[in-house]
Amino acid sequence: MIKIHAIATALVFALSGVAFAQEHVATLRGGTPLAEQGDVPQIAKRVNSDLRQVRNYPEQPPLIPHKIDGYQIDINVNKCLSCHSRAAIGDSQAPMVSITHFMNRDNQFLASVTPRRYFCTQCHVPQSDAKDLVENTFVDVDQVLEYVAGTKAGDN
Amino acid sequence: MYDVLYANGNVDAFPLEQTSDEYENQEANHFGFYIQKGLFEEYAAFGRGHGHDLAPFERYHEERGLRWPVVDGQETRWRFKEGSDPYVTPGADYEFYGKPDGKAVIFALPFEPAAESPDEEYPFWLSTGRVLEHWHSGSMTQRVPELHSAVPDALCYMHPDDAKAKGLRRGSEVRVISRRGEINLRIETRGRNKPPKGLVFVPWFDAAKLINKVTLDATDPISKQTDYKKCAVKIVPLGA
Repeated sequence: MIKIHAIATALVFALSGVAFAQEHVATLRGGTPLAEQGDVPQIAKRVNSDLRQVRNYPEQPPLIPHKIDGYQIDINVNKCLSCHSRAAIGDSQAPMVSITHFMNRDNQFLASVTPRRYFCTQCHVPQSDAKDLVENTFVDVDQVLEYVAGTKAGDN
Repeated sequence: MYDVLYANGNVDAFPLEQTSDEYENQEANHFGFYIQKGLFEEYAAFGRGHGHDLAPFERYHEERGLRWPVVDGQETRWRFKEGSDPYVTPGADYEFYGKPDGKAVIFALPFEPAAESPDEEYPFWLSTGRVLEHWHSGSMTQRVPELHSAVPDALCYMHPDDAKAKGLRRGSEVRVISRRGEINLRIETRGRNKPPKGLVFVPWFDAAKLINKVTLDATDPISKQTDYKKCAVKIVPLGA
C-alpha cells in the first residue's frame, strides 16, 4: 500500500512537471495550451502603400509594397513584368527588374529576364499588417560599422 | 594521428608555391603545404581507373562542374553509352558496368493504397507541407519580420469552387476535422498555387495551428516515412 502511494505521489509530481514544462517552454503559440485551440486571427491585411522599404543589406531582394493577388506567373504570362520589365517602366514608373536578372549563369547579359530569375515570388514577398511574434534585434551594416569605429576610437 | 592524416606523403605532397596569389589561403599557410589540393588528390585517387575518375584539382577552378568519369581531360556526357563513356566495352553499345551482367537494376515497387481516402462523411483530401517563406517550421523564419509579415498565419488553402459550394469565402473561419482531431483555420482561395478541387492544403509551420492534430500516424510499409501528405477530412464552417 505504501508502495502504491509512493508511485501515485511520484506520478502526481511527474504530471505537474509536465504542466510546468508546458507553461514555460518558449513557443510561438502565444500561450495557448497545446490541447486547446486559440483564437484564429483574421487573414492579415496586405500592405498596398506602393512605398518602397529600405533594405536591411544590399543583397536583400526588395519587398513588394503592393498587393499581388491573382498575379499569373507561368510559362505564358508574367504579370509582374507588365510593369517592371525594361520596356514597361516608361509607362508604369515602377522600378526596373535588376540588371542581375538579365544575367545567365555564366554572367552573360541576355536581352530579357533570364529563365532562372523569372519566378519573382521565389524571392520577393509582399508584406502585411501582422505584428511581429518576437522582438528582433537585427542591426544593419551601417550601425555595425559605426559601432566598430566607435570601439576603435575608444581604444586609442 | 597528424602523420597518418596529413603528413602522409599524399596530403602534404603539394608545396605552397602552387597556391593562387590572388586569394588568401590561411589554411594552407597554417599547414605549410597546399592542403586543399592534397586532400582532393588523395580522395580522387580512389576513383581514378574505376569509372569515377575526377579531373585534376586545378581544373575545377575553371569549370562549373564536370560529369564523371573524366578521362584524358574529357568529361562523359552520356554515361554507360559507347562512344561517350570510355569505360563501356567496345561493341556493347550500352553497358552498365559495375553490375555482374552489365544491365541496370530497376526496382518495380508495389502500389500502396492510401491509408485513408475521402468518403461521404470526410469528403476532402488534406495535404500538409511547407510554404516557401517558412522553412522548415517557423521556429527560425517566423522571427524574421519580413518573412513573418509575408505569411503570418497557416491558412486552409482551398479551390475557389469548393469554397463557393460550401458557402465559404476567403477569410471564413472553418473547423478542419478528421477522425483523429480538429483545428480551426481561415480559408484562403487566392493562394500562390490553386489546389485541385476536393483537396485542401494546410502548412505546418505555424505553432498556433497544429495541423498534425488532424493528420494520420500511418507510415509507408517499406520506407517507414510518415504519411502527412494525405488523409480524409471534413470542413465545417464556423460562421465567423
